Amino acid sequence: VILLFNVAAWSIAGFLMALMLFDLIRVNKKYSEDYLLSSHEGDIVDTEEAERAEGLL
Amino acid sequence: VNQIDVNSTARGKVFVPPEQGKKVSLSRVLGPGHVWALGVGIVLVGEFMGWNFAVGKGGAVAALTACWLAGILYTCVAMIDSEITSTVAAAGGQYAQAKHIIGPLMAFNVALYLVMAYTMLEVSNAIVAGDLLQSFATDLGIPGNVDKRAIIVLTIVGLSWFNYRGVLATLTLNLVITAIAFISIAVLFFYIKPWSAGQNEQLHSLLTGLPYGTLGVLASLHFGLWFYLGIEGTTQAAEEVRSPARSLPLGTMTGMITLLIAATATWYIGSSLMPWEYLGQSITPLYDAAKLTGNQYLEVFLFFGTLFATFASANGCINDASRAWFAMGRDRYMPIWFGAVHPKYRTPYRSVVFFVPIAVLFAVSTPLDQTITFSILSGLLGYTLMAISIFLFRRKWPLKSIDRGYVHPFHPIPSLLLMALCCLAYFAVYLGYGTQLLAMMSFYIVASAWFVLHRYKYVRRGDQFTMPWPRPQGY
Repeated sequence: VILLFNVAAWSIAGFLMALMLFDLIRVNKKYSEDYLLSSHEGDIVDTEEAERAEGLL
Repeated sequence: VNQIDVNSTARGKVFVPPEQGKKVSLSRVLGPGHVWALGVGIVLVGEFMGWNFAVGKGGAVAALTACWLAGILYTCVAMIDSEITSTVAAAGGQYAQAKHIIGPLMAFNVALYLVMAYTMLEVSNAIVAGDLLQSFATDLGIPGNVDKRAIIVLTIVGLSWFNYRGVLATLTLNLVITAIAFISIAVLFFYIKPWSAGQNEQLHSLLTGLPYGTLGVLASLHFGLWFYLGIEGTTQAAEEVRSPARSLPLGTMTGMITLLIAATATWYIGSSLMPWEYLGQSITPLYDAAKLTGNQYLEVFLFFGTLFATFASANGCINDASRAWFAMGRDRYMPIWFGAVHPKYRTPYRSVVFFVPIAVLFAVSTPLDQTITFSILSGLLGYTLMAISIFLFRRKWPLKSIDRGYVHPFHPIPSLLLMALCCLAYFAVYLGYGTQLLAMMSFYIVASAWFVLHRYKYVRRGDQFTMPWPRPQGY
């Protein structure tokens, strides 16, 4: 049981790390650096749009 | 210009690539409950473990004194932080505050304190999660050894993945597991019937005064900070809350009230069930207290309470460290590459991923007490600067010169009190970990020299000051 638990823990951790790295590389390639770095301190995001995107509205 | 790219289709909402000229920024979706969950979530693990080393330093009475002294220190921190952050609502929290109020070098140092404090706390939590599951499996009599490193890596990677995928889900998770952890403390407190004469007699029989005298009280202050360390992390959510001026003070102050109640209840539970010699060395004092009640359901509940508090703390720390690093990247205090926002999840995704290997390396190579001490020291340096910061803030921008979401009362008493208590805490840390204190100071001095001599030339000086404030008085 413990062996299975240990293997599962390593596997899930490896899988999630791979997912993050894959997505990071995909996003870096798909979008321009200017767009990804377009956030500026003090910019106000449209709250209603953000809430809608998160499924709150 | 600043709208998120979402289209509705027959299969639901789908993300569409941005058009030229569009911007992406962090998502403003959090409310006061999430702010509470971020602050209390980071801290509550300190009630489940760590605080009790204060008992070992000076006895149970000294630990209670340290608990309340640290409570005053952190109430001052929460009040000062709430006032400034309700005005400087930007990711990076105290970093953005220091940048506007004191200057770039101080901001760089504050950001490093934040990153160090949260990363080391995250590492500590991951180590504790590994220890906890290992000992729970042993308690259950399951043959074989839980691989502690697997749990550590899974905790760090799993929670980083949550943080990568979006702040709303991450902090909603924190809200749920923090609430469960807090309820477990409350249930244990009421289960032992603190109002009964028998329980109070037991407490009095276990209290032994001050075994190491007043120096013991001072020494115990080091671990007394553990009851509240990290509550100031609420400000890192400043750019992601719907109403910063309302949510941040409300979430921070209610969080502080929650912690004061939880800390005092925790002290009572531990001190009335265990002799100080044992309590002062216990790894999981509340879980041990639950075992002593003889109620198996309570024991399991407290195990999960401890585990959830550990996860909530690590989760909040990943959130806060990545925001502080992201804010530095955005201002080019660090490579601007870290200032990117994920177009779909609206998180500082590169900063989140960047800290995964760093946290794993520290977790598998550094002892727990060292990571805890690094975290405490970095936090303490930040609090000292807060006391200076509020003086400058009030002097440069007096009360009616800019709108504040919250104005803390009795200025300058809280800042003077904070400064005095920080000095006491430095001395307390010096008593037990003098070498680490000096090593940390040296690290920050070297880092400051690197920033001034090398890094600052990359910073666009005019762009870093973003608050629409009038010119400060005297300038």
